[in-house]
Amino acid sequence: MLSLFQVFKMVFGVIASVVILYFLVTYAGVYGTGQQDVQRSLIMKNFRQLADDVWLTGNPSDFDFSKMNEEVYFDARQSPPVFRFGNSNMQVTNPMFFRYGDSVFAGRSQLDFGWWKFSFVVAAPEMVVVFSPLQNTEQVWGIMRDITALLPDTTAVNTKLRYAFCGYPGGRDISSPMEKFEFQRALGLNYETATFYSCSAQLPSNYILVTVSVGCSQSPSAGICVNPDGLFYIAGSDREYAYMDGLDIIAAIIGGTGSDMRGRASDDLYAYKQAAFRESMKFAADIMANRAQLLAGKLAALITGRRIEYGSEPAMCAGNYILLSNALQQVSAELAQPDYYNNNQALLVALSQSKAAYDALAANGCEVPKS
Amino acid sequence: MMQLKWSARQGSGRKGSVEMMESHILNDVRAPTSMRDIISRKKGSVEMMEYMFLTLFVIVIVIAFVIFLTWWNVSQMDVEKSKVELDKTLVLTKSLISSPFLARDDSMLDDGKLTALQDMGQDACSSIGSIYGADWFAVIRLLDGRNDTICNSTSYPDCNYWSLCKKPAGNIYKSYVVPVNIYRNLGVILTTGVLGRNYVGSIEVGVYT
Repeated sequence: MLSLFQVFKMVFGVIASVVILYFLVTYAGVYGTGQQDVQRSLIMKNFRQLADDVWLTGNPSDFDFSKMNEEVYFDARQSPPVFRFGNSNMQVTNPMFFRYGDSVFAGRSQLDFGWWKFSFVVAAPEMVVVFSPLQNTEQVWGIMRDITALLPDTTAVNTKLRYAFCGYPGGRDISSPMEKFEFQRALGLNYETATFYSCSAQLPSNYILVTVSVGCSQSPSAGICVNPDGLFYIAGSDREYAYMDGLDIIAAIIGGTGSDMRGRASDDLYAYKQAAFRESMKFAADIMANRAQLLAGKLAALITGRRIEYGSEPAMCAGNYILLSNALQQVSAELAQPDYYNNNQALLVALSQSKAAYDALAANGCEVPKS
Repeated sequence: MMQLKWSARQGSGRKGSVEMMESHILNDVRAPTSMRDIISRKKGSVEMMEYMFLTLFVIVIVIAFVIFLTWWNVSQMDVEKSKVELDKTLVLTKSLISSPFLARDDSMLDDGKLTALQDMGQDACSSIGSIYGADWFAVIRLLDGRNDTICNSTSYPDCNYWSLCKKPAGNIYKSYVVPVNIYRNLGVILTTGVLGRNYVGSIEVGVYT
Protein backbone atom coordinates (compact mmCIF):
# COMPACT_ATOMS: atom_id res chain seq x y z
CA MET A 1 0.00 0.00 0.00
CA LEU A 2 1.16 3.54 -0.75
CA SER A 3 1.47 5.90 2.16
CA LEU A 4 -0.09 9.37 2.02
CA PHE A 5 3.41 10.86 1.83
CA GLN A 6 4.24 8.74 -1.18
CA VAL A 7 1.01 9.84 -2.85
CA PHE A 8 1.87 13.44 -2.03
CA LYS A 9 5.38 12.98 -3.42
CA MET A 10 4.02 11.59 -6.66
CA VAL A 11 1.38 14.27 -7.15
CA PHE A 12 3.72 17.07 -6.14
CA GLY A 13 6.49 15.67 -8.33
CA VAL A 14 4.24 15.45 -11.33
CA ILE A 15 2.89 18.99 -10.87
CA ALA A 16 6.35 20.46 -10.25
CA SER A 17 7.82 18.60 -13.24
CA VAL A 18 5.04 19.75 -15.55
CA VAL A 19 5.40 23.36 -14.40
CA ILE A 20 9.19 23.35 -14.75
CA LEU A 21 9.07 21.54 -18.07
CA TYR A 22 6.44 23.90 -19.45
CA PHE A 23 8.45 26.88 -18.32
CA LEU A 24 11.67 25.56 -19.82
CA VAL A 25 10.05 24.57 -23.12
CA THR A 26 8.36 27.96 -23.46
CA TYR A 27 11.55 29.77 -22.56
CA ALA A 28 13.63 27.62 -24.89
CA GLY A 29 11.17 28.43 -27.70
CA VAL A 30 11.39 32.18 -27.06
CA TYR A 31 15.16 32.01 -26.65
CA GLY A 32 15.53 29.89 -29.80
CA THR A 33 13.40 32.30 -31.84
CA GLY A 34 15.46 35.20 -30.51
CA GLN A 35 18.70 33.47 -31.48
CA GLN A 36 17.32 32.73 -34.95
CA ASP A 37 16.42 36.41 -35.36
CA VAL A 38 19.93 37.37 -34.27
CA GLN A 39 21.41 34.94 -36.80
CA ARG A 40 19.20 36.32 -39.59
CA SER A 41 20.13 39.86 -38.62
CA LEU A 42 23.81 38.92 -38.84
CA ILE A 43 23.33 37.39 -42.30
CA MET A 44 21.50 40.50 -43.51
CA LYS A 45 24.09 42.78 -41.94
CA ASN A 46 26.82 40.92 -43.82
CA PHE A 47 24.85 41.19 -47.04
CA ARG A 48 24.33 44.92 -46.62
CA GLN A 49 28.03 45.30 -45.90
CA LEU A 50 28.83 43.40 -49.08
CA ALA A 51 26.33 45.49 -51.11
CA ASP A 52 27.86 48.70 -49.74
CA ASP A 53 31.35 47.50 -50.62
CA VAL A 54 30.17 46.57 -54.12
CA TRP A 55 28.56 50.01 -54.46
CA LEU A 56 31.76 51.75 -53.33
CA THR A 57 34.33 49.70 -55.20
CA GLY A 58 32.41 48.45 -58.24
CA ASN A 59 33.84 44.94 -57.72
CA PRO A 60 31.11 42.31 -58.24
CA SER A 61 30.58 39.58 -55.67
CA ASP A 62 28.06 36.92 -54.67
CA PHE A 63 26.34 36.06 -51.41
CA ASP A 64 24.92 32.85 -49.92
CA PHE A 65 21.50 33.15 -48.28
CA SER A 66 21.00 29.40 -47.78
CA LYS A 67 21.21 29.66 -43.97
CA MET A 68 18.54 32.35 -43.89
CA ASN A 69 15.70 29.75 -43.78
CA GLU A 70 13.20 32.44 -44.65
CA GLU A 71 12.59 34.64 -47.66
CA VAL A 72 13.82 38.22 -47.52
CA TYR A 73 11.34 40.75 -48.85
CA PHE A 74 12.83 43.83 -50.45
CA ASP A 75 10.29 46.53 -49.61
CA ALA A 76 10.91 49.04 -52.37
CA ARG A 77 7.78 50.99 -51.42
CA GLN A 78 9.61 52.48 -48.44
CA SER A 79 11.95 55.44 -48.85
CA PRO A 80 14.75 54.49 -48.38
CA PRO A 81 13.84 50.83 -49.08
CA VAL A 82 14.14 48.17 -46.37
CA PHE A 83 14.82 44.44 -46.23
CA ARG A 84 12.08 42.66 -44.27
CA PHE A 85 12.85 39.30 -42.66
CA GLY A 86 11.27 37.56 -39.68
CA ASN A 87 10.21 40.25 -37.22
CA SER A 88 13.02 42.57 -38.27
CA ASN A 89 13.82 44.98 -41.03
CA MET A 90 17.00 46.66 -42.21
CA GLN A 91 17.41 49.87 -44.14
CA VAL A 92 19.15 49.87 -47.53
CA THR A 93 21.86 52.54 -47.67
CA ASN A 94 22.57 52.82 -51.38
CA PRO A 95 20.33 52.44 -54.46
CA MET A 96 19.73 48.75 -55.06
CA PHE A 97 17.60 46.48 -57.23
CA PHE A 98 17.21 43.22 -55.37
CA ARG A 99 15.52 39.87 -55.81
CA TYR A 100 15.89 37.15 -53.17
CA GLY A 101 17.40 33.73 -53.88
CA ASP A 102 19.51 31.12 -52.07
CA SER A 103 22.56 32.62 -53.69
CA VAL A 104 22.71 36.05 -55.33
CA PHE A 105 25.24 37.97 -57.39
CA ALA A 106 25.78 41.66 -56.67
CA GLY A 107 27.32 44.13 -59.08
CA ARG A 108 27.43 47.89 -59.51
CA SER A 109 26.45 49.86 -62.60
CA GLN A 110 26.18 53.55 -63.35
CA LEU A 111 24.07 55.92 -65.39
CA ASP A 112 26.44 58.68 -66.48
CA PHE A 113 25.08 62.21 -67.07
CA GLY A 114 28.48 63.93 -67.15
CA TRP A 115 27.86 66.27 -64.22
CA TRP A 116 26.48 63.37 -62.14
CA LYS A 117 26.58 59.59 -62.04
CA PHE A 118 23.75 57.53 -60.63
CA SER A 119 25.35 54.39 -59.17
CA PHE A 120 23.25 51.41 -58.19
CA VAL A 121 23.69 47.80 -57.16
CA VAL A 122 21.91 44.95 -58.94
CA ALA A 123 21.56 41.83 -56.76
CA ALA A 124 19.58 38.79 -57.91
CA PRO A 125 19.79 34.99 -58.06
CA GLU A 126 21.31 33.17 -61.03
CA MET A 127 19.41 34.13 -64.18
CA VAL A 128 19.61 34.25 -67.96
CA VAL A 129 18.35 37.25 -69.92
CA VAL A 130 17.09 35.98 -73.28
CA PHE A 131 16.85 38.67 -75.95
CA SER A 132 14.51 38.24 -78.86
CA PRO A 133 15.02 41.06 -81.38
CA LEU A 134 12.34 41.17 -84.06
CA GLN A 135 13.81 43.90 -86.33
CA ASN A 136 17.31 44.57 -87.51
CA THR A 137 17.37 48.30 -86.78
CA GLU A 138 19.92 50.30 -84.81
CA GLN A 139 17.19 51.33 -82.38
CA VAL A 140 16.41 47.71 -81.50
CA TRP A 141 20.08 46.82 -81.20
CA GLY A 142 20.76 49.99 -79.20
CA ILE A 143 18.17 48.98 -76.59
CA MET A 144 19.79 45.57 -76.16
CA ARG A 145 23.22 47.23 -75.83
CA ASP A 146 21.92 49.72 -73.24
CA ILE A 147 20.30 47.01 -71.12
CA THR A 148 23.36 44.75 -71.26
CA ALA A 149 25.73 47.64 -70.44
CA LEU A 150 23.78 48.45 -67.28
CA LEU A 151 23.69 44.88 -65.96
CA PRO A 152 26.66 43.66 -63.89
CA ASP A 153 29.45 41.47 -65.24
CA THR A 154 29.49 38.20 -63.28
CA THR A 155 32.45 36.56 -65.00
CA ALA A 156 34.47 36.53 -61.77
CA VAL A 157 31.71 35.25 -59.45
CA ASN A 158 29.96 31.89 -59.04
CA THR A 159 26.36 33.08 -59.24
CA LYS A 160 25.92 34.04 -62.86
CA LEU A 161 23.92 36.52 -64.87
CA ARG A 162 24.15 35.36 -68.46
CA TYR A 163 22.65 36.24 -71.82
CA ALA A 164 21.29 34.43 -74.85
CA PHE A 165 19.37 35.04 -78.06
CA CYS A 166 16.09 33.42 -79.00
CA GLY A 167 14.62 33.58 -82.50
CA TYR A 168 17.84 35.04 -83.90
CA PRO A 169 19.78 32.47 -85.86
CA GLY A 170 22.84 34.76 -85.90
CA GLY A 171 23.45 34.32 -82.19
CA ARG A 172 23.98 31.40 -79.83
CA ASP A 173 20.70 30.01 -78.57
CA ILE A 174 19.35 29.56 -75.07
CA SER A 175 21.13 26.25 -74.45
CA SER A 176 24.50 27.97 -74.24
CA PRO A 177 24.10 31.36 -72.55
CA MET A 178 27.00 33.77 -72.63
CA GLU A 179 28.82 35.97 -70.16
CA LYS A 180 28.39 39.74 -70.51
CA PHE A 181 31.60 40.43 -72.47
CA GLU A 182 30.85 37.59 -74.92
CA PHE A 183 27.31 38.81 -75.43
CA GLN A 184 28.44 42.41 -75.94
CA ARG A 185 30.82 41.13 -78.61
CA ALA A 186 27.91 39.28 -80.23
CA LEU A 187 25.85 42.48 -80.16
CA GLY A 188 28.67 44.27 -81.96
CA LEU A 189 28.52 41.90 -84.93
CA ASN A 190 26.74 42.80 -88.15
CA TYR A 191 23.00 42.20 -87.83
CA GLU A 192 21.70 44.01 -90.91
CA THR A 193 21.26 40.94 -93.06
CA ALA A 194 19.92 38.72 -90.27
CA THR A 195 16.45 37.21 -90.18
CA PHE A 196 14.36 36.91 -87.05
CA TYR A 197 11.41 34.93 -85.80
CA SER A 198 9.29 35.14 -82.70
CA CYS A 199 10.63 33.15 -79.72
CA SER A 200 8.38 30.23 -78.87
CA ALA A 201 10.84 28.19 -76.75
CA GLN A 202 9.75 26.94 -73.32
CA LEU A 203 12.14 28.77 -71.00
CA PRO A 204 13.22 27.50 -67.57
CA SER A 205 12.02 29.51 -64.57
CA ASN A 206 15.26 31.44 -64.12
CA TYR A 207 15.24 32.65 -67.74
CA ILE A 208 13.53 35.93 -68.61
CA LEU A 209 12.55 36.76 -72.16
CA VAL A 210 13.10 40.34 -73.36
CA THR A 211 11.52 40.88 -76.76
CA VAL A 212 12.56 44.08 -78.52
CA SER A 213 10.24 45.09 -81.32
CA VAL A 214 8.25 47.99 -82.77
CA GLY A 215 5.23 45.68 -82.63
CA CYS A 216 5.16 45.32 -78.82
CA SER A 217 1.76 45.88 -77.26
CA GLN A 218 0.06 45.30 -73.92
CA SER A 219 0.08 41.90 -72.19
CA PRO A 220 2.80 40.05 -74.12
CA SER A 221 2.58 36.26 -73.92
CA ALA A 222 5.87 35.93 -72.02
CA GLY A 223 8.54 38.06 -70.38
CA ILE A 224 8.99 41.72 -71.17
CA CYS A 225 8.36 43.38 -74.52
CA VAL A 226 10.25 46.61 -75.19
CA ASN A 227 9.09 48.99 -77.87
CA PRO A 228 11.78 51.42 -79.11
CA ASP A 229 9.18 54.22 -78.97
CA GLY A 230 9.76 54.52 -75.19
CA LEU A 231 7.24 52.06 -73.77
CA PHE A 232 7.54 48.51 -72.52
CA TYR A 233 5.08 45.86 -71.39
CA ILE A 234 5.19 43.00 -68.88
CA ALA A 235 3.44 39.63 -69.31
CA GLY A 236 0.41 39.39 -67.04
CA SER A 237 0.13 43.16 -66.60
CA ASP A 238 -2.23 45.51 -68.41
CA ARG A 239 -0.06 48.53 -67.72
CA GLU A 240 2.05 50.53 -70.14
CA TYR A 241 5.48 51.34 -68.68
CA ALA A 242 7.37 54.41 -69.94
CA TYR A 243 11.15 54.22 -69.89
CA MET A 244 13.81 56.92 -69.93
CA ASP A 245 16.82 54.65 -69.86
CA GLY A 246 17.81 50.99 -69.61
CA LEU A 247 17.46 51.00 -65.82
CA ASP A 248 13.65 51.12 -66.06
CA ILE A 249 13.72 47.88 -68.05
CA ILE A 250 16.30 46.38 -65.68
CA ALA A 251 13.92 47.06 -62.77
CA ALA A 252 11.34 44.93 -64.60
CA ILE A 253 13.90 42.22 -65.47
CA ILE A 254 15.03 41.89 -61.85
CA GLY A 255 11.46 42.03 -60.53
CA GLY A 256 10.34 39.36 -63.02
CA THR A 257 6.88 38.72 -64.37
CA GLY A 258 5.45 36.95 -61.32
CA SER A 259 3.31 38.44 -58.60
CA ASP A 260 2.34 37.39 -55.06
CA MET A 261 0.10 38.63 -52.27
CA ARG A 262 2.23 41.77 -51.99
CA GLY A 263 1.75 42.55 -55.68
CA ARG A 264 4.09 42.55 -58.65
CA ALA A 265 7.76 42.95 -57.64
CA SER A 266 8.59 44.49 -61.03
CA ASP A 267 5.99 47.24 -60.44
CA ASP A 268 7.55 48.02 -57.05
CA LEU A 269 11.09 48.13 -58.44
CA TYR A 270 9.95 50.24 -61.42
CA ALA A 271 8.25 52.72 -59.06
CA TYR A 272 11.31 52.66 -56.79
CA LYS A 273 13.62 53.44 -59.71
CA GLN A 274 11.53 56.44 -60.65
CA ALA A 275 11.30 57.70 -57.08
CA ALA A 276 14.98 57.12 -56.23
CA PHE A 277 16.16 58.49 -59.56
CA ARG A 278 13.94 61.55 -59.35
CA GLU A 279 14.87 62.28 -55.75
CA SER A 280 18.59 61.76 -56.31
CA MET A 281 18.76 63.55 -59.63
CA LYS A 282 16.73 66.54 -58.45
CA PHE A 283 18.91 66.85 -55.38
CA ALA A 284 22.11 66.48 -57.42
CA ALA A 285 20.84 69.03 -59.98
CA ASP A 286 20.04 71.54 -57.22
CA ILE A 287 23.48 71.10 -55.63
CA MET A 288 25.32 71.33 -58.94
CA ALA A 289 23.25 74.37 -60.05
CA ASN A 290 24.07 76.15 -56.77
CA ARG A 291 27.72 75.17 -57.08
CA ALA A 292 27.88 76.42 -60.67
CA GLN A 293 26.30 79.72 -59.62
CA LEU A 294 28.68 80.04 -56.69
CA LEU A 295 31.75 79.42 -58.85
CA ALA A 296 30.48 81.69 -61.63
CA GLY A 297 29.87 84.49 -59.12
CA LYS A 298 33.28 84.11 -57.48
CA LEU A 299 35.07 83.99 -60.82
CA ALA A 300 33.17 87.09 -61.97
CA ALA A 301 34.17 88.83 -58.73
CA LEU A 302 37.82 87.93 -59.34
CA ILE A 303 37.61 89.40 -62.83
CA THR A 304 35.89 92.57 -61.57
CA GLY A 305 38.48 92.90 -58.81
CA ARG A 306 41.20 92.50 -61.48
CA ARG A 307 42.76 89.58 -59.66
CA ILE A 308 42.49 87.63 -62.90
CA GLU A 309 42.65 88.93 -66.43
CA TYR A 310 39.53 89.56 -68.46
CA GLY A 311 39.50 87.13 -71.41
CA SER A 312 41.56 84.52 -69.56
CA GLU A 313 40.44 80.91 -69.13
CA PRO A 314 38.56 81.49 -65.84
CA ALA A 315 36.56 84.27 -67.47
CA MET A 316 35.28 81.75 -70.04
CA CYS A 317 34.59 79.30 -67.24
CA ALA A 318 32.31 81.83 -65.53
CA GLY A 319 30.11 81.97 -68.65
CA ASN A 320 30.07 78.20 -68.99
CA TYR A 321 29.10 77.78 -65.33
CA ILE A 322 26.14 80.11 -65.87
CA LEU A 323 25.01 77.94 -68.82
CA LEU A 324 25.36 74.78 -66.72
CA SER A 325 23.45 76.33 -63.84
CA ASN A 326 20.58 77.36 -66.13
CA ALA A 327 20.40 73.88 -67.72
CA LEU A 328 20.44 72.20 -64.30
CA GLN A 329 17.72 74.49 -62.99
CA GLN A 330 15.65 73.39 -65.98
CA VAL A 331 16.36 69.71 -65.11
CA SER A 332 15.25 70.35 -61.53
CA ALA A 333 12.09 72.14 -62.70
CA GLU A 334 11.18 69.26 -65.05
CA LEU A 335 11.74 66.70 -62.29
CA ALA A 336 9.37 68.66 -60.06
CA GLN A 337 6.52 68.05 -62.53
CA PRO A 338 4.21 65.33 -61.15
CA ASP A 339 3.92 63.46 -64.45
CA TYR A 340 7.47 64.00 -65.65
CA TYR A 341 8.02 60.33 -66.40
CA ASN A 342 5.28 59.86 -68.93
CA ASN A 343 6.04 63.22 -70.58
CA ASN A 344 9.79 63.02 -70.36
CA GLN A 345 10.80 64.74 -73.62
CA ALA A 346 11.37 68.13 -71.92
CA LEU A 347 13.49 66.41 -69.26
CA LEU A 348 15.53 64.57 -71.87
CA VAL A 349 16.19 67.88 -73.68
CA ALA A 350 17.23 69.56 -70.40
CA LEU A 351 19.50 66.61 -69.58
CA SER A 352 21.09 66.79 -73.00
CA GLN A 353 21.71 70.56 -72.57
CA SER A 354 23.21 70.07 -69.13
CA LYS A 355 25.52 67.35 -70.41
CA ALA A 356 26.62 69.63 -73.28
CA ALA A 357 27.28 72.51 -70.84
CA TYR A 358 29.32 70.23 -68.58
CA ASP A 359 31.28 68.85 -71.53
CA ALA A 360 32.05 72.44 -72.57
CA LEU A 361 33.37 73.17 -69.06
CA ALA A 362 35.54 70.06 -69.22
CA ALA A 363 36.77 70.96 -72.69
CA ASN A 364 37.77 74.45 -71.45
CA GLY A 365 39.65 72.97 -68.52
CA CYS A 366 37.22 74.40 -65.94
CA GLU A 367 36.15 70.94 -64.74
CA VAL A 368 38.11 67.72 -64.57
CA PRO A 369 35.92 64.92 -65.99
CA LYS A 370 35.19 62.25 -63.38
CA SER A 371 36.90 58.92 -63.73
CA MET B 1 -3.17 3.73 7.03
CA MET B 2 -0.96 3.77 10.09
CA GLN B 3 -1.44 7.47 10.49
CA LEU B 4 -5.21 7.10 10.26
CA LYS B 5 -5.12 4.41 12.85
CA TRP B 6 -2.98 6.53 15.11
CA SER B 7 -5.29 9.53 14.74
CA ALA B 8 -8.29 7.40 15.59
CA ARG B 9 -6.57 6.35 18.74
CA GLN B 10 -5.96 9.96 19.66
CA GLY B 11 -9.72 10.57 19.50
CA SER B 12 -10.04 9.85 23.21
CA GLY B 13 -7.01 10.53 25.39
CA ARG B 14 -8.07 8.16 28.13
CA LYS B 15 -8.91 5.34 25.78
CA GLY B 16 -5.51 5.76 24.10
CA SER B 17 -3.52 5.61 27.39
CA VAL B 18 -5.49 2.56 28.51
CA GLU B 19 -4.68 0.83 25.27
CA MET B 20 -0.98 1.71 25.64
CA MET B 21 -1.00 0.40 29.18
CA GLU B 22 -2.76 -2.73 28.03
CA SER B 23 -0.25 -3.23 25.32
CA HIS B 24 2.59 -2.84 27.82
CA ILE B 25 0.95 -5.34 30.18
CA LEU B 26 0.01 -7.82 27.55
CA ASN B 27 3.21 -7.28 25.69
CA ASP B 28 1.06 -6.62 22.68
CA VAL B 29 2.76 -6.40 19.32
CA ARG B 30 0.89 -3.11 18.73
CA ALA B 31 3.05 -1.24 21.31
CA PRO B 32 6.21 -0.95 19.24
CA THR B 33 3.98 -0.31 16.19
CA SER B 34 2.55 2.80 17.87
CA MET B 35 6.05 4.09 18.64
CA ARG B 36 6.96 3.42 15.06
CA ASP B 37 3.85 5.36 14.05
CA ILE B 38 4.99 8.37 16.07
CA ILE B 39 8.51 8.16 14.67
CA SER B 40 7.15 7.48 11.21
CA ARG B 41 4.85 10.51 11.40
CA LYS B 42 7.72 12.80 12.43
CA LYS B 43 9.96 11.25 9.81
CA GLY B 44 7.20 11.70 7.20
CA SER B 45 6.84 15.38 8.07
CA VAL B 46 10.60 15.88 7.87
CA GLU B 47 10.76 14.03 4.56
CA MET B 48 7.90 16.11 3.22
CA MET B 49 9.66 19.29 4.31
CA GLU B 50 12.91 18.04 2.80
CA TYR B 51 11.11 17.25 -0.40
CA MET B 52 9.47 20.64 -0.54
CA PHE B 53 12.77 22.39 0.18
CA LEU B 54 14.46 20.35 -2.52
CA THR B 55 11.72 21.25 -5.00
CA LEU B 56 11.92 24.89 -3.96
CA PHE B 57 15.68 24.77 -4.42
CA VAL B 58 15.33 23.26 -7.90
CA ILE B 59 12.78 25.92 -8.83
CA VAL B 60 15.09 28.66 -7.52
CA ILE B 61 17.98 27.19 -9.56
CA VAL B 62 15.81 27.05 -12.70
CA ILE B 63 14.58 30.61 -12.18
CA ALA B 64 18.14 31.80 -11.54
CA PHE B 65 19.26 30.07 -14.73
CA VAL B 66 16.46 31.67 -16.71
CA ILE B 67 17.22 35.09 -15.21
CA PHE B 68 20.88 34.61 -16.10
CA LEU B 69 20.02 33.61 -19.69
CA THR B 70 17.66 36.58 -20.02
CA TRP B 71 20.27 38.94 -18.62
CA TRP B 72 22.87 37.47 -20.96
CA ASN B 73 20.52 37.82 -23.92
CA VAL B 74 19.62 41.40 -23.06
CA SER B 75 23.25 42.37 -22.51
CA GLN B 76 24.18 40.70 -25.81
CA MET B 77 21.41 42.64 -27.50
CA ASP B 78 22.76 45.87 -26.01
CA VAL B 79 26.23 44.99 -27.28
CA GLU B 80 24.73 44.08 -30.67
CA LYS B 81 22.74 47.33 -30.76
CA SER B 82 25.89 49.29 -30.02
CA LYS B 83 27.74 47.41 -32.75
CA VAL B 84 24.89 48.01 -35.21
CA GLU B 85 24.99 51.73 -34.45
CA LEU B 86 28.75 51.84 -34.98
CA ASP B 87 28.39 49.81 -38.19
CA LYS B 88 25.70 52.19 -39.40
CA THR B 89 27.99 55.13 -38.68
CA LEU B 90 30.86 53.48 -40.52
CA VAL B 91 28.69 52.57 -43.53
CA LEU B 92 27.33 56.12 -43.64
CA THR B 93 30.85 57.53 -43.41
CA LYS B 94 32.01 55.38 -46.31
CA SER B 95 28.93 56.28 -48.34
CA LEU B 96 29.26 60.02 -47.70
CA ILE B 97 32.93 60.33 -48.61
CA SER B 98 32.12 58.73 -51.97
CA SER B 99 28.66 60.28 -52.34
CA PRO B 100 28.09 62.03 -55.68
CA PHE B 101 26.30 64.78 -53.70
CA LEU B 102 29.39 65.70 -51.70
CA ALA B 103 32.38 64.25 -53.46
CA ARG B 104 34.22 64.98 -56.64
CA ASP B 105 35.70 61.49 -56.64
CA ASP B 106 36.09 58.63 -54.14
CA SER B 107 37.33 60.06 -50.82
CA MET B 108 37.71 63.53 -52.33
CA LEU B 109 35.07 66.02 -51.23
CA ASP B 110 34.28 69.02 -53.41
CA ASP B 111 34.24 72.36 -51.56
CA GLY B 112 31.80 73.82 -54.10
CA LYS B 113 29.25 71.05 -53.47
CA LEU B 114 29.73 71.30 -49.70
CA THR B 115 29.17 75.06 -49.79
CA ALA B 116 26.11 74.65 -52.04
CA LEU B 117 24.70 72.14 -49.51
CA GLN B 118 25.51 74.49 -46.64
CA ASP B 119 23.60 77.27 -48.38
CA MET B 120 20.59 75.01 -48.96
CA GLY B 121 20.30 74.62 -45.18
CA GLN B 122 17.46 72.49 -43.82
CA ASP B 123 16.22 71.63 -47.36
CA ALA B 124 19.52 69.88 -48.01
CA CYS B 125 19.18 68.00 -44.75
CA SER B 126 15.70 66.67 -45.52
CA SER B 127 16.65 65.80 -49.14
CA ILE B 128 19.82 63.96 -48.19
CA GLY B 129 17.94 62.38 -45.26
CA SER B 130 15.50 60.73 -47.64
CA ILE B 131 18.46 59.14 -49.45
CA TYR B 132 20.73 58.16 -46.56
CA GLY B 133 18.17 58.02 -43.75
CA ALA B 134 17.49 60.47 -40.94
CA ASP B 135 19.19 61.33 -37.63
CA TRP B 136 22.80 61.79 -38.60
CA PHE B 137 25.17 64.67 -39.16
CA ALA B 138 28.45 65.40 -40.90
CA VAL B 139 31.02 68.01 -39.94
CA ILE B 140 33.86 68.66 -42.39
CA ARG B 141 36.98 70.61 -41.49
CA LEU B 142 39.82 71.72 -43.68
CA LEU B 143 43.02 71.15 -41.71
CA ASP B 144 44.71 74.45 -42.58
CA GLY B 145 45.65 75.50 -39.05
CA ARG B 146 43.22 78.43 -39.04
CA ASN B 147 40.18 78.99 -36.85
CA ASP B 148 36.92 77.40 -38.01
CA THR B 149 35.08 79.68 -40.44
CA ILE B 150 31.82 78.28 -41.75
CA CYS B 151 31.55 78.19 -45.53
CA ASN B 152 28.62 79.84 -47.31
CA SER B 153 28.17 81.83 -50.50
CA THR B 154 29.51 84.97 -48.75
CA SER B 155 32.57 83.56 -47.01
CA TYR B 156 33.61 81.14 -49.78
CA PRO B 157 36.45 80.45 -50.54
CA ASP B 158 38.01 82.02 -47.40
CA CYS B 159 36.49 79.41 -45.11
CA ASN B 160 37.27 75.94 -43.83
CA TYR B 161 34.26 74.40 -42.07
CA TRP B 162 31.00 72.80 -43.15
CA SER B 163 28.28 71.41 -40.91
CA LEU B 164 25.39 69.35 -42.28
CA CYS B 165 22.29 68.31 -40.32
CA LYS B 166 23.94 68.94 -36.94
CA LYS B 167 21.47 69.04 -34.06
CA PRO B 168 21.95 71.26 -30.99
CA ALA B 169 24.37 70.05 -28.31
CA GLY B 170 22.89 67.58 -25.86
CA ASN B 171 21.75 64.97 -28.39
CA ILE B 172 23.60 61.70 -27.88
CA TYR B 173 25.44 60.28 -30.88
CA LYS B 174 28.16 57.87 -31.97
CA SER B 175 30.60 59.20 -34.52
CA TYR B 176 33.70 58.46 -36.56
CA VAL B 177 36.28 61.00 -37.62
CA VAL B 178 38.27 60.07 -40.72
CA PRO B 179 40.72 61.98 -42.88
CA VAL B 180 39.56 63.04 -46.36
CA ASN B 181 40.83 65.02 -49.29
CA ILE B 182 38.99 68.24 -49.96
CA TYR B 183 39.21 69.67 -53.45
CA ARG B 184 39.16 73.45 -53.48
CA ASN B 185 37.88 74.64 -56.83
CA LEU B 186 39.46 78.07 -56.34
CA GLY B 187 42.62 76.68 -54.79
CA VAL B 188 45.31 78.83 -56.40
CA ILE B 189 44.40 82.16 -58.00
CA LEU B 190 46.84 83.49 -60.57
CA THR B 191 46.34 86.42 -62.89
CA THR B 192 46.23 84.06 -65.84
CA GLY B 193 44.04 81.38 -64.33
CA VAL B 194 42.52 79.63 -61.39
CA LEU B 195 43.75 76.23 -60.36
CA GLY B 196 42.06 73.63 -58.23
CA ARG B 197 43.99 72.24 -55.28
CA ASN B 198 43.68 69.32 -52.91
CA TYR B 199 43.77 69.89 -49.16
CA VAL B 200 43.77 67.47 -46.29
CA GLY B 201 40.70 67.63 -44.10
CA SER B 202 38.62 65.54 -41.78
CA ILE B 203 35.02 64.45 -41.77
CA GLU B 204 33.13 63.57 -38.62
CA VAL B 205 30.02 61.52 -39.30
CA GLY B 206 27.72 60.87 -36.37
CA VAL B 207 24.50 58.93 -35.92
CA TYR B 208 22.11 60.08 -33.21
CA THR B 209 21.09 57.27 -30.86
